[in-house]
Amino acid sequence: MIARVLYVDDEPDIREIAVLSLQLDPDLEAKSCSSGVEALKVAQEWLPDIILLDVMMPHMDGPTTLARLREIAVTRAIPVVFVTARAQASESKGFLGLGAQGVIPKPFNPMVLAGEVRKFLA
Amino acid sequence: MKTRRVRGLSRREKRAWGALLVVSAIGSAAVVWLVSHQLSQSQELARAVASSHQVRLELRSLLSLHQDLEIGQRGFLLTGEPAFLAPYTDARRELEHAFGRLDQTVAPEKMAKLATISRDKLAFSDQTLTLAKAGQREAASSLVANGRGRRLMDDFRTTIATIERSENTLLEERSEAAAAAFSFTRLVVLTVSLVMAALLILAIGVTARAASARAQATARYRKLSARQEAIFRNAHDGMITVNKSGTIEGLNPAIERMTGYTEVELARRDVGLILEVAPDQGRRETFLRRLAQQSQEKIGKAQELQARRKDGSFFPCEVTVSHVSFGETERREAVRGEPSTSETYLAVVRDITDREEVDRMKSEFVSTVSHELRTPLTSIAGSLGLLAGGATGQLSEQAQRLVQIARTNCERLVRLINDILDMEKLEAGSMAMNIRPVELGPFLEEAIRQNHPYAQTLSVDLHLEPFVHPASVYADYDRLMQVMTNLLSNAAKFSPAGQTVEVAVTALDRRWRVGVRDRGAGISEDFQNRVFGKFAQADSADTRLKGGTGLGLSIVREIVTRLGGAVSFESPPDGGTIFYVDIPAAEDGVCHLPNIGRPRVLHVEDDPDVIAIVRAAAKTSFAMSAAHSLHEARAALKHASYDVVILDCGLPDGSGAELIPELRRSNIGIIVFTAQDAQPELENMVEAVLIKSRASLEALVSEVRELLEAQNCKGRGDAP
Repeated sequence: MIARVLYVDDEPDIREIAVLSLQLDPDLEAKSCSSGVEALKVAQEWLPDIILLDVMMPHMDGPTTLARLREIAVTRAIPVVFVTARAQASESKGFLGLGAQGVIPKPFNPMVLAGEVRKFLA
Repeated sequence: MKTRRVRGLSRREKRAWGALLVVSAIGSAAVVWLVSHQLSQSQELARAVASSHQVRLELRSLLSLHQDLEIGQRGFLLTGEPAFLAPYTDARRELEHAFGRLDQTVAPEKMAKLATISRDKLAFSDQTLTLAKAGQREAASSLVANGRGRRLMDDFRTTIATIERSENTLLEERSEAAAAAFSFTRLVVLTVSLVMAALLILAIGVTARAASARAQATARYRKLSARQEAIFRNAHDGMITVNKSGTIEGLNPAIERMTGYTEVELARRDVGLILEVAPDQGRRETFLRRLAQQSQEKIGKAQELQARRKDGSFFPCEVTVSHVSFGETERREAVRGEPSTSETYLAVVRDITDREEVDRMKSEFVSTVSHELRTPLTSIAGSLGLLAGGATGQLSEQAQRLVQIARTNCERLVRLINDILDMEKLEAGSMAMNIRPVELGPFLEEAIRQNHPYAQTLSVDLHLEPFVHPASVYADYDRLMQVMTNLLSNAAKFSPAGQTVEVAVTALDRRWRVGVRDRGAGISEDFQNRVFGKFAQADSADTRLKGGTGLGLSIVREIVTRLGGAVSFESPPDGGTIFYVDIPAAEDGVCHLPNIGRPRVLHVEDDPDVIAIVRAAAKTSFAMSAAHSLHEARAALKHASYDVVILDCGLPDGSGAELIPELRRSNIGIIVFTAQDAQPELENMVEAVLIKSRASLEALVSEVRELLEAQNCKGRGDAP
């Protein structure tokens, strides 16, 4: 079964690379958007199986976006994984307290990104 | 500050005045003796002179009596008139008395001769008078005419003259002796007076010089004192002098500026009024009492504390305490065995509000910069990763090589950013440590497993020497893994291909030592003291050749130090270098914690993620420790003291509620934080019960804070 992955990041280059990386796995369908506001809209319409969320974004940052997703009935249960350049892997545990399923530190390895996402889906 | 007055005489003055005193005493005694001697001599001389005069008068009188005898005798012989015999009779009666007086003063031999002549004369006169009275006047006249009477009278005169001359000679001798003695006395008195005058002048001179020197010294002291006073008063940093019990003895205007208190308001008050010395102990202990308990180890070291203004607000400050020695006074007290009354400490207080703000901004800056660097790196590394991975089709061999170079350097850049961030966090003290017992056997096997692929790329093998299990240390697993990764990757990098990096564990006193031995060229002597420095590499070319950041060992040292351990290295004679990491051993799974000054909170919870998020929520407010089971919690409570325990009920080896009675006995605050619905009776046994699915982390942290504040208030209330 093909899983839908929504990648949210304000950096277009990273969005492009992330989508390319995710599409290396034929069982993943990837879509990206550039802000938290857009993510809320796309998530409600497209209903992804997992959302990869950048932490530092203008206007609405990752944690706020996550909190808003949790408030919306159709998106409440969608697992969210933070992708952040803000913290290293060993210090990322604090983000788990916010309700995220996991943290992928930037820069990520594009050749194994899809595999990491699969682990969260499993 | 008061000027020290110079009191008492100088040693030189004391010597001069002492000599003057001694010479004066001796001189005065000599003068008194001489004068009294002279007086007695003068009196003796006066008596002798008077005696001589008396002798001469008596001799004249004696001569006169004999002349009266002669006149009476001759008158009667010539006239036959009895009236002429009156002088004769009177003189004869007086003679005996006259001789009696002279016998006492004139030498007996001289008087004997005179008496003999006098007796002969009297006998002759009596003989002539007897003849005349018998009518034989002619016989008497012829007897007189034979000249015997005249000769006797001449002899008498001559003898008297001789005695008079002898008396005169004696008188002269005595006068001369008296004059000589007087001259000597005068000389001695003059000499003594001169010596005393000279000494007096000398003493006055020395005193005057000393007084002048003293005046100059006093002027210098005053100048120095004024200068020190000016430095003290104008110093930008606050300065407080306190005695051993923490009472403020003095302060400078900077303290008044910082705190809003006046000097009068702070004088003789406890230093705890303005320095929040031990907030975690409810301010029951003063700063210096705590210092004493800590074996003076804080003396001379800057400590960051909170200072309190008069309006109750706080500001961060750095306080350096130094012991002020008053030298001679304390030494004298020590010699006399008296307790030192002058023990004073100087606390230099620096307002570091700006510095903290700068630190915060720096931290923010480093964090932002690292984010801003990582963002483009993500694109670069991602693109290169996709290219190298063949996502866009097969690359030519040359293109693959170039993409590989770009990727390697990209990874190096990422490592550098990560190391800089780690270093910044370690130095700022904001790196969270999840301290718990770590079993070295499985831990080191995992470290070798993780670093093996990297070592293989350098054709270096990693080998763990067998050691006796169990060997448990007290550490943050992830941070200790970071330490091992740095040491193992370093060792692999600096070992020639085909060699083996050896990891060995040995036991030390209350510590376990992990040694990582490489087979490299060793560390040159001139680099040895910089090994753990930042951006330290023996050869700057190493950075490029070995791909390191130069921060690895510096981070190792910082992490190990924060874990209460130590790092060191040695270069064995048979080559290579061994880096040692000594970590406190965990006895019964737990070891003693260093005193860190913050409230201690023990989180008893089996889920590492929950521990991590609670720790993240608590930030640096408390010193968080974790126990993952009842067994670990009991061991932790046995070896360290805690202010609050956060308790999960569902633990692998039983319910956390089992711990409540023993926690109650130790007066430790208890907050139950559990996923299960707590039994209703629990609520009466603990301070708070929070259910994970309903309570926020903020609520949990807030409960802990309130509990600590309540404990502090109770502590203050109980304090004497």
